[in-house]
Parts: sequence; C-alpha cells; structure tokens
Amino acid sequence: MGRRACCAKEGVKRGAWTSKEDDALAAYVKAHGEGKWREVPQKAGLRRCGKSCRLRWLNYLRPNIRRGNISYDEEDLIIRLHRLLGNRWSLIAGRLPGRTDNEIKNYWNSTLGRRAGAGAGAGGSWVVVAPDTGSHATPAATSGACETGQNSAAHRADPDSAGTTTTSAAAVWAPKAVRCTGGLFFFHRDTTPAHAGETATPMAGGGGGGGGEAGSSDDCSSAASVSLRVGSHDEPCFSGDGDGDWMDDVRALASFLESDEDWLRCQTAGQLA
Amino acid sequence: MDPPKPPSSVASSSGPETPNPHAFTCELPHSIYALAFSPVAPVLASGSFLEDLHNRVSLLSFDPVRPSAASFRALPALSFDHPYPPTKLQFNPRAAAPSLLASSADTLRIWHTPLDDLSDTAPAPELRSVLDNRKASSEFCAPLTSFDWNEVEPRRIGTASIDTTCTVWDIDRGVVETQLIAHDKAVHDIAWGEAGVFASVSADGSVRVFDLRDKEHSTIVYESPRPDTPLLRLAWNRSDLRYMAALLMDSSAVVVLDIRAPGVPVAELHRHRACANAVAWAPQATRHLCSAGDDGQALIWELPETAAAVPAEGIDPVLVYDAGAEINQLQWAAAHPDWMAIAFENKVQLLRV
Repeated sequence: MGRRACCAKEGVKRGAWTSKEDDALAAYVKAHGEGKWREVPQKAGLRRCGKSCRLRWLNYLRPNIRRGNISYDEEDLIIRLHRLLGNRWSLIAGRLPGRTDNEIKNYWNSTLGRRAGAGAGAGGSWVVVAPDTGSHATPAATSGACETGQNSAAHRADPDSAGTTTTSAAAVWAPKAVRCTGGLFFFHRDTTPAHAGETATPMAGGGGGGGGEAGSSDDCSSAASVSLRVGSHDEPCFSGDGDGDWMDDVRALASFLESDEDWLRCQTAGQLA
Repeated sequence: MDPPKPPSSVASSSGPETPNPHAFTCELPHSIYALAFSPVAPVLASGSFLEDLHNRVSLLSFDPVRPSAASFRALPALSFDHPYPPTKLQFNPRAAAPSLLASSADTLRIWHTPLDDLSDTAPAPELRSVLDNRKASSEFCAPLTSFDWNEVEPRRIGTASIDTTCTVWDIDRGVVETQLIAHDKAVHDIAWGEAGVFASVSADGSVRVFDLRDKEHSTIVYESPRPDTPLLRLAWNRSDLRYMAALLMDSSAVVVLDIRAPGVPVAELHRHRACANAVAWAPQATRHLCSAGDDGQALIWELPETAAAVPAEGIDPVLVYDAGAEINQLQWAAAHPDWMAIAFENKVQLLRV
C-alpha cells in the first residue's frame, strides 16, 4: 500500500507559516527541545504536520540561522566546495556558519549553478557529467556527529544527485575545527573536578561566539568558542616532559570538548608526572 | 651545533674585487622562487618564477668542503622544463631511495633526478608521475600552494591547495590516501610533524593541526590577531616538535608558537623592516631559526630556553646578512647544516652560517 502518510490529510494547514505559528513553534522547542516531531503539532497547538514543524525549525527558526544576503566570499566558497564535493549540501553548509543545506541548495539551483555553468560548459550550457568509475563504490564522506541530521536531510532531498557526483578518489573528510586557547584549559586546571563540572554546563548553554567558528554546528561551536583568559599564558596546558608526550597533548585538546573525562584523565596524568 | 659563525663584516659592502668568503652567488636567466637542497648530494634545485606556462627547474651544484665561486654553478644537463612556476620543490628525504624531486604547481609532479653523475653528459631528469586529483568531469584544477614530504613516512606527501583542502598522497601507489577540507579559505602551507600528524596555515588566519588517526577533528593552535589576516608560511621545528613558526601576510613579524600553549605566541620576532617572506628552523639545533624578507635581510634568531625568558622589548637576531634585494625564499640544508640558500631577483646565494 506504499509508504504511510506522515499525518492525516484532514485538518492540516498548508502553505506559508504565520508569525503566530512561528512563535508557537519556537516557544515549544525552546521549552521542550528538539525531537519527537510527530507529537509537536498537537502539543504546541499547531494545525501542521510534524514533518513541516521540523523543517520549519531547522531551516528558519533555529537560533543563529542567517538567511539571505549571501556575501561574495560565501558565494566563492560555495562554488569551490561544490566543485569539490558535488551536491552534498550538508557538507557545504557546514562550512558556512549560520547557513542551512536547504538554503545552499536553493541558492545554487537558482543562482550560482547557472552562473558557474555558463563559464564552464561549451556553448554556455552546463552539463553534469557523472564520473566514469568509482561513484558507487565511494563511501559518503562524514563530517562529524553534529552534522548527521543535516546529512540525512540532504541525502533525502537529492538522493540521485548525491550519488552521481561523488568524488572518484578517496572520501573527502571535513574535520571539525576545535579552537584551543590557553586560558580555557588553565581555568579547568585550577579548579576541582566538581567545580569544573558545575561551571561547564552554563558555558555550554550560554552559546555565543558561533559566528567565527566554521565547520561546526551551533550546538558544538558554542562550547568550542568559549574563551577565557585566566591564569598565566607562560604555563603550558599540559606537562611537556618526556619524549613523545607532546602529541598526546594535542589529541587530548582536540577530544576535550567531546568528553570531560579525557581532560580529567590528562590532568591527573600531568599531576603524576 | 656550534654557534653560527658570523659572516664577514664586509658582506654588505663587498664588491666584485672583495668577495665575501662566506657567500656564493649563482645567477640564472630568470626570477627564482622555489629552492630545495638534496639530502644526499651537494645539489640545490631552484625553480623559476615566470608568469608563463613555460618555467624551468635548474639544478645547481656546490662544494660544501672547499667552496668557491666557480664550484657553485648550474648544471645544464640536469635542468628541465616545468609547467607553471613551481610553488615548492623538495627532494625525497630518505637518502637511500632513488633520487626523486617533487614539485607543486597546478598539480603534484615527481621527477626522477639521478644525482650520481653531475657531469655535462649526465642523463636528463625525467617526469616519473603526475598526481592529479581532479574529478573526471572537471577541466578545472585547484592550484597547489605548497607541499611537504613526510620524513618519517616518505611514501606520504601532503599538499596544500587553494580549494581549502589538504591532500595526503601515497606516492608509491600514486593514489590519494586522505583528503581533508582543512580550512575555510585557501591553504597556503603545510608541514608534517610526525608520520601521521601535519599542520597547515590558511587565508582564514589560522594554524591547524591534523592527526590522520582522528580525521573528524582538527585543532586550531593559533589565529591571527587581526581578523581576516591570512597566514602565509609555516615551519615546524623538526628538532623540537613543540615549536612552529608562522608568517602573516604583509607583516614583518615572525610568530613562534608552542603547541603546548595554544593561542598565544611564545615570541614574535620583530626586527625585519619589511614583510617577512620565508622562515626555516635550523636542521640540527632546537632553538635557532632563520627568517628573510623584503628588507633584503636574512636574520638568524636564537630563542630563549623558556617563554618566560623572552624580554619585553623583543629578541634581537644573533646574525644579520644583507642581500641587497628582497629575499623571496630561504632553505637551510639538513645534510649540510653549515649552509643555507636564499633566492632574490634572479640570483641564488649560498651562505655559510
């Protein structure tokens, strides 16, 4: 009988969202968090499909979303990343802070694709040619847990395009950049583990500073961007003694934001040294 | 390593009648940018800098034991044509392997350059492989700004490209081992630290460290203080992997970083009077580095033991050499640590330190 409809057809509103609906949805997600989208319309008092609520939130209402006014630098980056990654919009959007994959896709299809094609193709028409080999064998590049949701959305949006334009070489990785400042780690270094646990939560929840952090979603960049100038900058974050330890420090820095326990373990090891 | 011997005081004022006994000059018929010392032979590779498809790589021989102006000369038999100006040249760091020279331009090329025979009848270098990562459907290429040959794992070459990626090549098999979207803007330089760890600098103003065992993350160890000031060059101290040096665009400063204390430089070296163009660590000393710039000076610095010992008024260089013209490139020979090479205008100069 085919796929089950996401919601009943009767009584569901379609078309443009009103500001009242936007406010109701934003207030609900702010109070209850994302997820369980099927239940959101009923609980938020919206006559909308849960799927529509999710898409409205992700592409329009989420904090730090920027729509429109794509700058020249952003255009240039989109063109270069599209040449590199093809139609994997979630990966491209991941490199542009505040942009969604949906907006990048629409912008490319309505504006950039035609412009870029005019320069590239013979006779001014732009033709997408699939690579001869390797497109099916190549695994999709992953760009970190924070972009998994966007990845799924992108693949659902363009399953055919995503398959035909993957790179024929090895998969392309997009490492998430983790900004490390001495002060941040000095701060943790000077406090007890319990105190560090208490202060970590408001920092993560406070957000801020996400604009400068590329390659991260908003959920992760808020933590990564926290910068505290506490303690002396002359002291290294970790003990530098012993050969071969220095690279462990760098790996520990990179993984710190994923797990506080790694940090505490390194701190203990540093104290023992 | 002994403290570097000072060059003669007549260096800056020497004419043809009083040559500097520690500096030897070779003139070539074109501007020069890329330089590379061979790890096995007293040979220096230089790449021309002509805004043209036709460029040339010249191999120059020198005598490290009894140097003379006559012994520092080009080897016509071992020079070859190269498409586009090479952005970087580097020999295979493993001495026992066949003598290979890598060059980066529109793509990465590996040349077989046998250096056993330096006579005029030597066999010519030949192009061994072209490592091109373009998609089959694309006629564009993303030029390579730099590359680095992994000394610990010599089958690996990491390239930096203006398309924001760093690519790690397995040159034995001629395939891409890994490609990473390393930065948000063009990547200008790359340097290996360990077998699986490299760092890169970018037009986005950051220095980032990558570990091939964890491709999901990279670590930003420095960001330029003024927003959107690109970083141009990166040198990782191979004698003490805690330290890196970086150059900012249109800046006379050399930024020295300690990766154990990220974010804030250990020292900023501020004695160049114009833009700094090149930086290199001493191959066998842990705290010496050399920088060169548009003021025509090559400066050798000695860093203090600890960051706390950096004086407030800044560090003075221990040696100064004045070339008389803007210096574009600098290389410090690992096989002959007493020698370094600089490139300015159409000249390559060999300096004894």
